[in-house]
Amino acid sequence: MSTTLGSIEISYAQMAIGMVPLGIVILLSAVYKLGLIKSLVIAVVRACIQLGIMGYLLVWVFAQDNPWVISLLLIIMVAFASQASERALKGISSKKIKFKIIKILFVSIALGALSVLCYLQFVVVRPEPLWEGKYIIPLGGMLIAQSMVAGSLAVERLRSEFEARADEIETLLALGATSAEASRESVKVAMTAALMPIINSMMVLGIVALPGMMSGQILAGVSPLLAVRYQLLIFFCIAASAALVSWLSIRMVRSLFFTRDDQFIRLESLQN
Amino acid sequence: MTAFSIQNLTVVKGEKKILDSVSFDVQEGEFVCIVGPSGAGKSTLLRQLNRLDYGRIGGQILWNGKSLEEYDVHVLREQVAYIFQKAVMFPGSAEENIKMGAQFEHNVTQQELEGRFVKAIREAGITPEMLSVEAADLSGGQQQRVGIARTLMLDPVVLLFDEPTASLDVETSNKFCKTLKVLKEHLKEKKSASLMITHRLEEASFLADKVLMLEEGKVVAFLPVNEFFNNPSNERVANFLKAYKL
Repeated sequence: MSTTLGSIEISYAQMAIGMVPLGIVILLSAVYKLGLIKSLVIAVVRACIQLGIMGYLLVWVFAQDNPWVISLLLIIMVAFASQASERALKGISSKKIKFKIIKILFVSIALGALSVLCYLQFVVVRPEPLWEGKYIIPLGGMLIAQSMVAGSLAVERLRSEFEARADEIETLLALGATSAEASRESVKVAMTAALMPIINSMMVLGIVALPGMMSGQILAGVSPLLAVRYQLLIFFCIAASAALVSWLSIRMVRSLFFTRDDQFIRLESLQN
Repeated sequence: MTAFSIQNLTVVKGEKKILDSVSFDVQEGEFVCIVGPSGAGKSTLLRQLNRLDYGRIGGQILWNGKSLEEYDVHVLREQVAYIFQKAVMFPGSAEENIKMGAQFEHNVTQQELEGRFVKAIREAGITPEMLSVEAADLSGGQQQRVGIARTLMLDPVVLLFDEPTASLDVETSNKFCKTLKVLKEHLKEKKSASLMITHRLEEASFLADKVLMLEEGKVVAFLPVNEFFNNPSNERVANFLKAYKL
């Protein structure tokens, strides 16, 4: 068996053998008539194509080590992440508002996740050269993906809180509250909802599951102790990035629901 | 002296004109009831008076001779206070709910707040036994009283009532109207203007000095209460009263 950089080489034949367990999903779907076979086939084909393209792209990007190419790739990743967060658009029917929310997520993830990524890459890890793609791209991918989850959770929860608490918010505004004061409870709930998953993940880290990055590094032959340090670093940065992205997206989405004169716009009016 | 002067007020929401060139004046100490069919623009009009609502595209509202835009919007809302159709109760006792009324005012002494509290519960007809009860456990009528007392904690100059009896049964509503009548006398002494939306015309005849009737965003009539109910020269008012069997 040949090895590459300390890990075992997987041939295309081995890949084919590795796909056999997918048969369990197909079998269960057929027995229980789940109707998942078509979706599964599409998902498998898409995953192969997308990851294949990404693999070749990364080989090319790593070979360039060009800050502009790397920045462009990161921006594209942020754009896809903000577009893909369907949860944030739950309950919104207006195309105009959907587009505004996607824009908000793009800006929040770009500012929040990428600033934390810069700190991690340039202050903490400090590879040589500083823009080395094999560090910044995977680290960025993890931060962007988790920030997307946090940001969309925050947006979705803020929207549902604003719907549920509309009368409460108007009562507070009528008592002389500013929009920030009137929406404080909703913001608190949305921030908590966005940050709880990452905090919960940290609680069980290493007990329930070995996280992907650490497992990958161990499989690649890195010392488990070094893998642990990387994993902890990435978790700390994910928490910071998730908090920043949630905060930014909450602030921006909140401003959609209030006029400059602190008048509350209910969701149904906002969508008209 | 004129408290409010509403001049050619036009409000648009989406593509719909909600208010169309509405004009009328409210004098100090006057209690005006606003009536009209659903969708006439009554709530929009009331909410424009303390800038809780947006969408104004034309006209202006003067309060004490100054345009509403000249006031700080938060101070304006403390002085031109709004009482909603159904009072929202926050977690905590009735007393806590009432005291939170002044939580956004920063230049009030503790002593002044205590004074306002005593006055507010008296004017809103709140009994001492009610104060310690969890606000959510109070009846609809009691919650409305708590809502009014909470608003009175602001020591407002103008009170805007948006159908305060709409969610109450007839008996509670009648009792509540008596409380409003007492409150009205207090407001008159202070020369405070009040405006109240109501669907129950007997409330308007019991409380109002003047009645404003709106229809499809336009003023149909603005008349002293006796003239409105007893001798309406306006055919649409007569038809409206007829439909209500008054």
